Amino acid sequence: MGRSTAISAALHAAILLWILVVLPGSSPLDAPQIREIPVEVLTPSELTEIKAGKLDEESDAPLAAPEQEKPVAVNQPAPPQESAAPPPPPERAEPEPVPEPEPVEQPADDAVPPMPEEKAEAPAPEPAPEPETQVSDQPPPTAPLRRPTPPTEAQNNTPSPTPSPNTDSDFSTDRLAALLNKVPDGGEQASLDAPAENAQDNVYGQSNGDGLYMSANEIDALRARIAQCWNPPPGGLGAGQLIVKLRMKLNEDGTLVGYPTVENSNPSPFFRAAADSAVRAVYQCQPYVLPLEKYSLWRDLILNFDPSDMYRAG
Amino acid sequence: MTPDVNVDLSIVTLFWNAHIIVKLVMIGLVLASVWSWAIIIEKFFLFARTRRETDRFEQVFWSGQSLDELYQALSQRRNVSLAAMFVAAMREWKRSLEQSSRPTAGVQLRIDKVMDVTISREVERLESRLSFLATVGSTAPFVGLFGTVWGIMTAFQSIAASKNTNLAVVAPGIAEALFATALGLLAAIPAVIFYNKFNTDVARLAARMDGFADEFAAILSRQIERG
Repeated sequence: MGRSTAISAALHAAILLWILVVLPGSSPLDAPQIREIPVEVLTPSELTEIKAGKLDEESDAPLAAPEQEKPVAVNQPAPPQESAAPPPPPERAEPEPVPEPEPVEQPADDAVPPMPEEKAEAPAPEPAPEPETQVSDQPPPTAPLRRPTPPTEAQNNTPSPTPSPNTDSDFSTDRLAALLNKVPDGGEQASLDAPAENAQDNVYGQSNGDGLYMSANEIDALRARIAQCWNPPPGGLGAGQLIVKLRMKLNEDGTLVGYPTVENSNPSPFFRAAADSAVRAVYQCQPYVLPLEKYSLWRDLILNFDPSDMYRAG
Repeated sequence: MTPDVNVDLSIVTLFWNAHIIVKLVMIGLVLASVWSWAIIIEKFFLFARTRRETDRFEQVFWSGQSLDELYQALSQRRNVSLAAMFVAAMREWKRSLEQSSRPTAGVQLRIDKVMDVTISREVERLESRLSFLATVGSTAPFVGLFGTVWGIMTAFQSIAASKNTNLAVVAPGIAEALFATALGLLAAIPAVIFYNKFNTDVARLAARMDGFADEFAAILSRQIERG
């Protein structure tokens, strides 16, 4: 019997060892990443400021290499987090429609790359983003200039040598940059170093990896629409901090699929009411008018309902 | 408030984070598993040996060899099953012959008794410790379930304490609780399977010994009547 016990104990020890070695622990489930769109309630004055853009606003984009005198930074309106302008060779004045993908990671490198093909049609974008074009399917004005960026690169916000206006670049590019840079709330989000994994900081001009972008205008339109329908509950204690994170799925015609789910929780007794109001708002607003060809981007959305803006505004 | 998805759920952490009662349940179940596997290994070899020796004895017994010679050969060593019965019966037969020159009907009665006793002794030897397998097979799931219930109670208490229904608060407790059930089933399933197998084997060997006892009694009875 003693020998059998020894064999049995050894077997168990071996199995335990095997479990420890082979199964080091459950690998964390990698949930699909979902874009988040903050819904904030803005006062009309804020809204108009955003829409119009301030002409006197200083361009705070760190994209322009300051030591270069000739090149001017142009922020494209649609994907606001990219496209620094490299130094254009001044002799090349004719526009070249072929974009050049340059997988360069560091902004410092951007100053160096030899850019034979430079495009001169950059000044084409109309300076102020019009509200009408926001929801339109038409890609942003500089779409043809946009380089076919590898998705990771786009998320890293790596600036890459793209179009640069070199024909009479002194004309209004400073102003242009300032205008385009004034994409709503996008000032700091357009900065180079915004971490790609931080979805909250990276809501504008999002890419889903296949080259599609949700333009800031489209996101803005959706946000404004939901904010209209949203009637936050009258505040209780700390109701201003009740941020509701709502996840909704949409059909191609812009109607909701199923029931939107509340993604976060909060012990506050008012949270239920806040969550219900958010769900009601999302229900009332459907169908949402969004560009159909970007359906993969807005099929599954997360909305942050933050009533603190409402109270501040009110 | 994003839950920490990197909660370590490896087996070791599950064990160390468990409540003391759940820990005891887990240790007990592992010990039960070790002991039942020891019994299973022991019985496996015992049954294989017994079956092999029974086959060999039957072959020799029916080969026409003289029973006296066979008795001489076997009585020196330790025997199991049929051989043990044969030796016991032959010893009783010899003893009876020493007392009275002529065997009587009482001799046969005594030989039957001796063989019955040997059969029951052999069966008892084969069946020993099998009851532990039966016990483990029937109670280990319940013991594991007890650990699970206790662990889930703890998990719910931690929900109440943190006032947070976040899955990250509940998940480790429930995982550790379910681990107790897994251990219980791990111990119980082999115990039940092998208990049933060994029970069938014991019944088969006992039937074989009963049959041999009847046949040998018939041979001796013929011998007695012949005088």
